[in-house]
Amino acid sequence: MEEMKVKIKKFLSRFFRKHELGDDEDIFALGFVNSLFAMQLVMFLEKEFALTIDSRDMDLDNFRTINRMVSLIQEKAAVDQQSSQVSGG
Amino acid sequence: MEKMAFLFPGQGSHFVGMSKGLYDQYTIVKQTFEEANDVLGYDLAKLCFEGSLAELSKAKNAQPAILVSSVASFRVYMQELGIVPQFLAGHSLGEYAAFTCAGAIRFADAVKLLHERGKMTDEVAVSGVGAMSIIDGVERKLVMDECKAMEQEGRQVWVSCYNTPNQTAISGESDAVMELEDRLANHGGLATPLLASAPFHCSFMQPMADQLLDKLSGLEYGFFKYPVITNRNAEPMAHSEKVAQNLALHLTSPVQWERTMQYFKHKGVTLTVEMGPKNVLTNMVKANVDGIEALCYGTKEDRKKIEQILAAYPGLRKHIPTIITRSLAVAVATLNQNWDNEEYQEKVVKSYRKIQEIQDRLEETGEKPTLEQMRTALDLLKIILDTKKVSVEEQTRWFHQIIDETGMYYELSDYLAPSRLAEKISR
Repeated sequence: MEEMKVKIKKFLSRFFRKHELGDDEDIFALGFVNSLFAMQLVMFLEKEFALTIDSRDMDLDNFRTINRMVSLIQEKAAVDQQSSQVSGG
Repeated sequence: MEKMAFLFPGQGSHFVGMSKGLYDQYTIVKQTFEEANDVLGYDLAKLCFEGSLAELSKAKNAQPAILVSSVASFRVYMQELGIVPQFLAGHSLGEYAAFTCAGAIRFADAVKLLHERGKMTDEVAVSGVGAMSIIDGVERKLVMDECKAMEQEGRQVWVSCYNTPNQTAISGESDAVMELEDRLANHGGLATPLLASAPFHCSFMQPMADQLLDKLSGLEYGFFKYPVITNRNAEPMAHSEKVAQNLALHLTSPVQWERTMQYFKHKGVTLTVEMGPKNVLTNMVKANVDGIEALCYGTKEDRKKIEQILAAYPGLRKHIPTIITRSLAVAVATLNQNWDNEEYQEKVVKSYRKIQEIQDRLEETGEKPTLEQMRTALDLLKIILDTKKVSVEEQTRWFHQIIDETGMYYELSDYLAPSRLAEKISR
């Protein structure tokens, strides 16, 4: 989980320069975040953590803080595991 | 009366689910996507509708996807409303859709070209030689001054898009771009780096521009139906032979979008219609000029508004060309090089009269031409052009234009291959 946070922080630091983001800090409250940023964040999470974020997950609350993002990734991973167990079994 | 300009968005306007609404509703959109799938050899439509976003966002997919979606919107508009625009303009990548909808680049060529251009883009992006960022919240002048200051320090970073008075893009060498972001942040600027992007519209793109020009030079370009206001100089262009050179230079020159919007204002444009997957350029119109209504044909609510606005001009629809009226026009507009008067009378004059008879009947009854009447007219036109000794290349261009202008891309596609047409008629 710490490893996930490090990766996410590194990605976000390219956007939020000179600002040490806290794990529970609301990134949308920091000011300017546009749709181009949102799109790149989703792409990064999909690629880095090998998951597909579908329209049901596209709720700002899922991406508001680093901790929320980590929960989303873990949730998606758990669902994937379950479904692969079902299909594998 | 409304004076319209159509706008075509560029990179970043794609999303999972793009064009799905229009695809489900209109056959022409399905056919347009199917043609793109055939050209590419993979299922672009599925990627647009189901994702993943990461896969769709690869430039080799996103570039053709945005083009197809834009052309599909434009085709639906022409079929459903059909009132013609005065100008077209595309933002960055969107310039390809503008040229395609203007009739200068053939759709299948554009799809293939943008897949290739996308592959080149992905390579440049992966190589990490440069970066690109959107800068919001600081005036264009300040960004230009800071770029100049950095250039004097021997750093390579330039303004690459003049979007609005307070939004620019910068491109250049990666460290220099980041350094400039920081400097602008001190003045209240906000940077959004485009992570998987090449450093578009600056001299870092020269090697790719050379590569691209090779591909561009191999294409055939058609006549312009509408002028395109180009990104490079915010001036109208309608010369087929200049398209290749323009699109190569386009990669290394900044996008003059602010000036493009001012051009529209100056020319009395009252309505811009964005032809793309989602509303991206619409807000940019409002940030640049007052008094121009800006709507996006790709979104349902805006589509309704556009229909309402244009419903006030029912008379304009009558001027929409049909295959019959266009065949008559082309028959007259082409140069005769056959001085055998007897043959001319027998083939050109008689064929022309036969097409005119079809048109007379249609005008009497007020009906639309049937597919059979269209085919008859095109077959007669072919005889006329052959007799006038119009070259095969020119004939191909005319047939492309007629079919393009009337939107009969798939019903009459067999007329786009002149050799096949010749066989068909001689049989």
